[in-house]
Amino acid sequence: METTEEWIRSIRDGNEQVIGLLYDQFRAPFLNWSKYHYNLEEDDLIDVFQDSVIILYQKIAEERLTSIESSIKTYLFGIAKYLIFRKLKDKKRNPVEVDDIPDLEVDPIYFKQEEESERQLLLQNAINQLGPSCKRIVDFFYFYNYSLDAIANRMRYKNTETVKSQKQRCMQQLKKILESAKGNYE
Amino acid sequence: MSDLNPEEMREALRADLQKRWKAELQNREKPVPEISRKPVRWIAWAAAAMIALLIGLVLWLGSDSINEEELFATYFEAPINTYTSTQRGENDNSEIQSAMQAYEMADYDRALAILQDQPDSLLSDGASFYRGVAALAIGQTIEARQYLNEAAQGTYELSVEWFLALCDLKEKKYAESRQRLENITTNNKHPYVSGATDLLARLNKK
Repeated sequence: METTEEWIRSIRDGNEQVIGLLYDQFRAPFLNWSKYHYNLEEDDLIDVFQDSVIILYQKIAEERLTSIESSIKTYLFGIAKYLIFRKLKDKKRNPVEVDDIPDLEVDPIYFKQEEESERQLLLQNAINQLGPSCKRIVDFFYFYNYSLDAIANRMRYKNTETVKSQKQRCMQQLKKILESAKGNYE
Repeated sequence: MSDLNPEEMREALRADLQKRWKAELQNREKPVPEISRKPVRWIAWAAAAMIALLIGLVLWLGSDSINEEELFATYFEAPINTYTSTQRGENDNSEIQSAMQAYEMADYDRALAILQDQPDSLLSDGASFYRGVAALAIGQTIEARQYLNEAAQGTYELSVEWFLALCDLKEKKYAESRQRLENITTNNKHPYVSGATDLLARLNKK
């Protein structure tokens, strides 16, 4: 992919493989840049880069980020810079300000929760037990914020009524799986 | 369990994506072992021979394990369409005719998509049954089970039991599959008694 717009379009299309592509394309430049500027071990930098790629994908997928003025690489490094600062702070090391990369903040929702609620864990497991078309509908509707019309086009359903009824069916399935899981858990 | 709200759905999907891809990216960082250039010694030969022996043993033992994909492929056959050829009224609906034509051409994705379009109130056991079979044909076992269960109490009751047994098989629920097949074999007039007897024998061999 050449332009930032192409990256964004691909992510908005629901193509998760973009995470792998971003990782492979920018890993080496990131490590070269970050090792030069920051006093962190390579393992930590790799960890930061992995999180940064995933966060960037999620922000664009969820439409919390709809356009980027700089290149996608610069933005990605901006996310990583924020995460590096956090890690340096945890290790009580002083960060050095690097001016060519923007200062970005990352919404706490993108940080892995230390303690996920039982309900959340059950819900994540239940979603993974849905059939592929249900998982897709649920993903497009709740995560990618697609309209019913957009889902109908994307998944080649006849109209939005079909999407609505299919989504309803999928959510009923999800609830059944959850009820069953909760019963087994208790 | 109380209703699911959009925010918790979003949180779950976000967390799920994060976990899956973190694992994937960590996996990409695992070093690829280097091939040693040192001369092979007798210990290395002995180790290679042991490994070859173990692999052979595993394959020999494993040949008795259940290959559900192979069994499913052997025993699954979509039943012929008796729905639009014998029903009237509801099935004058050209959409349903199109769906069943697609079904007859083994275009199960299309058949399913068209049948899903139809309002539930207009559909009978027949549509649920063929929807279930179409979903099973393309590996959508959860949807298949739902549709087949919708058709379980009517005209298609006996056939539903057979296809649910295949659904269990595909999902590796061998105990449930065996139970259904055993039920089928107790009824000599069941349309699938022969297939069920055969499949049960193969499952019980494993």
